[in-house]
Formats: sequence, C-alpha cells, structure tokens
Amino acid sequence: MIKRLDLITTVAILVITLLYTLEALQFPGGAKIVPAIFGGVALVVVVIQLLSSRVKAFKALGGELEIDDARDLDVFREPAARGRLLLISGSLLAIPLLIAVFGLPFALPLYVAGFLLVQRQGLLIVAACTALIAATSYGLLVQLLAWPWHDGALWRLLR
Amino acid sequence: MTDIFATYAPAMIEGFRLLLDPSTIAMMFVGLTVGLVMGVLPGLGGTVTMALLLPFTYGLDPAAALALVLGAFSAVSMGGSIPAILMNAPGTGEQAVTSLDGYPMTQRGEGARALAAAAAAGVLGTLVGVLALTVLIPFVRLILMAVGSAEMFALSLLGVLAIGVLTTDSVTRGLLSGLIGLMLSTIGSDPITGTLRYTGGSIYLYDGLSITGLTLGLFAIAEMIRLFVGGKPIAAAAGGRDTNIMAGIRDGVRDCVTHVRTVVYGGVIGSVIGLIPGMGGTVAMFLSYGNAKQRSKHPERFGKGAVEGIIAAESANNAKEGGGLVPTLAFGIPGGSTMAVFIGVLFIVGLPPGPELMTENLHMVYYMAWSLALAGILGSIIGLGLAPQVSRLAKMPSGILAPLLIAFSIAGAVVDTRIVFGVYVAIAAGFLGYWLQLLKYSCAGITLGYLLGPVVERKMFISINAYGVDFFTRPLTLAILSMIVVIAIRPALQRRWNRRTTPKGETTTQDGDAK
Repeated sequence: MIKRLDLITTVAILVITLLYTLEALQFPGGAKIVPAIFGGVALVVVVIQLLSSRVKAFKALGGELEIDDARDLDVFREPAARGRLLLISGSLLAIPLLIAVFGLPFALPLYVAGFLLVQRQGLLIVAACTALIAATSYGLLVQLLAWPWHDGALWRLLR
Repeated sequence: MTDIFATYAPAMIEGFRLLLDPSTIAMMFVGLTVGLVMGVLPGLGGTVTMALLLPFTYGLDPAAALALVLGAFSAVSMGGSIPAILMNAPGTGEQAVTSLDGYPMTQRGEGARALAAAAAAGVLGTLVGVLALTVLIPFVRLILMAVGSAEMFALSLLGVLAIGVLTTDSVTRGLLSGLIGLMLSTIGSDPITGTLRYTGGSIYLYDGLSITGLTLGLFAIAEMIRLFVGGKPIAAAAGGRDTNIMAGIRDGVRDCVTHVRTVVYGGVIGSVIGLIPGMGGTVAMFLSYGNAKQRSKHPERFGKGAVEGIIAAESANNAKEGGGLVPTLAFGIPGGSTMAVFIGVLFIVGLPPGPELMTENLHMVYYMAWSLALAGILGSIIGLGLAPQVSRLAKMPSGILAPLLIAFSIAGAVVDTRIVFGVYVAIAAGFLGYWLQLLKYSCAGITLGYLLGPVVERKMFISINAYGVDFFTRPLTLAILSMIVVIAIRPALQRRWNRRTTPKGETTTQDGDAK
C-alpha cells in the first residue's frame, strides 16, 4: 500500500512541477528565469525519485520508502483512526464555512466548542476551552488587529 | 590596540551603567513577560512581538524603550522553544529545528530535560553572540565587504537544499522538499520585474502565500492532525516517565555543560550567520544542527530525540541575535524581518542606525549588547521556572489539545497579512504537511525554501548584473555551491559504504544501521 501511495504522490508532484515549469516559460523576460530553473531542477529530481525504485544506480539516493516507513500509515487500517481522520478533516474544512457565516472572531470558539462536543467531552472542559479561545480571539483579533467582530454573513443579515 | 581600548572601554562602561537603572530592569521584565507569552503562542514570533511593542516605545526614555523591546525579543526565543518542544508546534520556521529533537524527547517523557537544555543553550548562545557583537564592532565594515551578493545567493541555496537532505533519510525527498518551498516562493509578484506569477488572477496571492499561515499549517496543524488521528496524547509513548521534572531540568542543564563544544560551535555559526543580512535564524539553526550531526558519533540519533540537536539549534538561534545587531546598527541593514522592525524602534527613540550611532552614541550600542545578554539570562531563568508547569501540557489528551492548537494557529495565520486568506493557506498547508510527512518529505525544507526563495532570486539577479552570468565561478561562491553537491551525495555514498561493509545475511536500514 505504501509504495502505491508513494508512487501516486510522486506522480502528482511530477505533473504539478511540469505544469509549473510550462507556466514559467510563458512569463515575460526575466520573470521566467528563476521559476524555470526551480521547475527544471525539480523535474530532474522527481524523475530520479521515480526511477529510484527501478534503476539500481539511483537506489542509493534513497528515493524509495523502506518497509519501516509503512508503520506510520498503518493507522488507516483501524476504523477508529479513520473516523478520527474524517472528524478532524471535516472540522478543518468547516472552518471557512464558520468564518463566512459568523466571522473569524466568533468562528474560532465555535469551532472548538463544536469539536469538543462531538467528542463528548465534559461540559466543564468544553466551557473552559471555549472561553480560552474566545478570550484569545477577542484579545488578538478584535483588540490588537482591530479585526471587525461582526464580519460574518449572519451579522450582516441581522443588521 | 591602545586606541581601541581608549575608545571602546568607556562606552562599554557607560552602557553597563545605564543597564543598572531600576526602571530599565523593570521595563525589561515587562518585555520578558510579553515575549515569553507571545513566543509560546504559535505564529506570534519576534517580528510580531516587536511590531506590537512599537507603539509602546513612543515617549519612553531610549534606554527603557530598548530594554522593553530587547527583553521581549530575547524571551520570544525561549517562549517559542516551549511549544516547539512540547507540541511540535513551532510558531516560526526557525523553531522547526528545535522541534526535530525536542518533540521526540517529549514523546519519550523527557520534555523538562529538553526545555532545560534549550534554555541553558540559549543563555550560552546569547553570551557568545553578544561577545561576537562586542568584538566585531570595530571590524564590521571589513567583514561585510567580503560577502557579496553571489556568496549570499550560494549560501541561501545551500541552506534550503542542505536542510531538506539533513532532515530526511532520502536525498531526493530532501531536495524535492526544498525545491517545493522554492517553487511556492515564486507565487505572487516577481521581486525584480513586478510580473504576477501563479496568482490565477486572485489579488490575495499578489504578495505570495502567508508565511505564518504556511508555517503554522505545515507544522502545527499537520501535527495536530497526526496526533488526533493517532488518538494518543503527545507524551503517550513516555508511559509516565517524565515524573521527576526537577531531575529533568538538572539533566538538561548538565547536557549543556557536557556538550559545551556544540554550544560554542552553534554560537559561532549563529553569530557569523547573524552578521549576513537576510540569512536569518533559520539558516543558522539548520547549519548548526547539521554541523552537530556531522560531528556526532551517533548521527542516527538526530531527529529522534538527541539533546545535542536542541543545544546546537538553540545556541545558534540565540547567538545570531548578537551577530544580527552588527549590520543593523552599523549600516541600517536588517538581518531579518525582526531586525527591520527593530530599526523602526531605533528611529522612534532617536538613535537612527549608521555612523552616528557607532561614534557619538557608541555607549548605546554597548548598552544594547549588555541588555541582550541580561535579557537572555533572565528569559531563560523565567522559562526554566515555567518549565515544570508547561511540561504538563504534554499530558493533555489529543482530543482537547488538537482543537485548541488549531484554533490558536488559525488566529496566528492572519497576523501577518490580516486577511482571512491566511486561514485557507494554513488549512491547505496542514493537509499537505500531514500527507508529505507520512511519506517522509521534509516540511522544514519546504518552509526554508519558501522563506529564502525571494532572497535566492534577488541575489541571483544582482549577481548577474554585477559579475555576469558566470558569477557562480567566483571562488567563494563556487566553494559554497560545491558544498551542496557534497551534502547531497554524502548520505548516498555513506549508505553504499555501509551496505558494502555489512556482512552478508544482514540487512541495513536507511540510516545504514545493520539489523
């Protein structure tokens, strides 16, 4: 499994690097030089990495993952771990939505409270953590950075 | 020699006298407290701290204002090492090096020892840096003239590519990590021609990606995903071994004494790198780390909880502040973004950098050196005092720690750009960092590539204009560039050598260890 995931990732990097380099060549004059060099060198390195599992000469460069490295990926075999990955990924993807609706200063304590409640943490812990983030959010964003606390769609609707 | 003594000794004494003022010490304590708190919060590094303190220096006596700012500046480093070691959450790219070994030590239940080693190395590193500042002031112009744009280009490139290789077991993955960072750094407006590159028409990308967003995502958020998915607290592997915190602190301080050579090397590397404008602490820490790893009898332990790794990184990081003050004060050339804000403070207090400061107000230069030394000592003592309390953070369940740290990181992600786009960068970088770390890429390499990409580009163009396209054939530039090749090839050659010398029937790991 690890070799397949590694191969998919390397091919993805190869494609992105190729697109990056082709795009670099479209830039005018001096703006293209550095991206073209970075992209060109990266293409060479990523090809060596792809070949390292097949060509003996490149194997010493260590492009291929060893069996030991698979241990970190074992976590995906547990259903509980997969559930946790789904929860944290979903919660991270929900943050932009929370910001759009409630605004950044409100979104952060709401995110923390929601995340803890989904895990069925004690109400005291939920309240304490939410209060900590609410205070940080207010102090840092609203007071220090003068971030508008009511910049979400909900507040605009209520006004 | 007599002239030097007659000119500089009275200024040093006058500078020390200013430091003894009680109001100055009080302001320093305020700065230290602010710096420690800001350092602990991911994303709020020295630059942000200094920028936030800037308005408070108006109307203050110059000595008090400088004590406040230098106190905070010094304590941020100690404060930053706390989350870097305990949570693998470096607020800046610099602290990523401390995480490499600090976090594995925390996982082993040696968080207090790691923090104590960082604090002690920080004090000694600061003292080396201040010594460098004191000694180099008379010779500063000569040193800076030896390093041209071509050498700075080569040094930046060396930093980026060497770091990738040094922080992974694979040469290609290490190089690719650095190159990914360099490629990401080209997003936005071209520093030379102003051409927009890879923005996709989005105005949010005109200035490139948010540095704090990217760093917090690659390190803090990625680590929180890994930790939460694993379902264990940070110190789960410790099995409650970190019970004797005071013993851990004693061990950490003792480690620093045992590895005093690493401290000195780190201090010297940090001071020298600090002298070179634009290089910053990240390169200093990584070079010092690489140096300690190469000198070590057990390089395979680096990245897995070697206390020498922390000592090397922290001594260099703290020493570079002293070295960084030299070009800042003498020529008004900041060593990094924090020093750029510090120049603003100097203007506010009526001490603009340049020849006047180095002649008529020389005592203030030495006052700053003394302040930095005292702040380094006090900051580390306060940090050590807090170590027993903050060490307990490692026992917090990941289900509680993850949302808290993610929320802190999201708040920190908007600090530099002040637009919500930084949040999206942090989240995307979090997923990317989590995935790439699973496949043994180096997030430190990506971060450093991103930070130094613009420096590489600018210095390359300046070098071409100044020396022509064959600028890299300058002897010093060529020597530095050759080091990249040596560093890239060396692990592969070493692995080959180990395989050859391993008796048949045994296999070797990627580190070359026989199993």
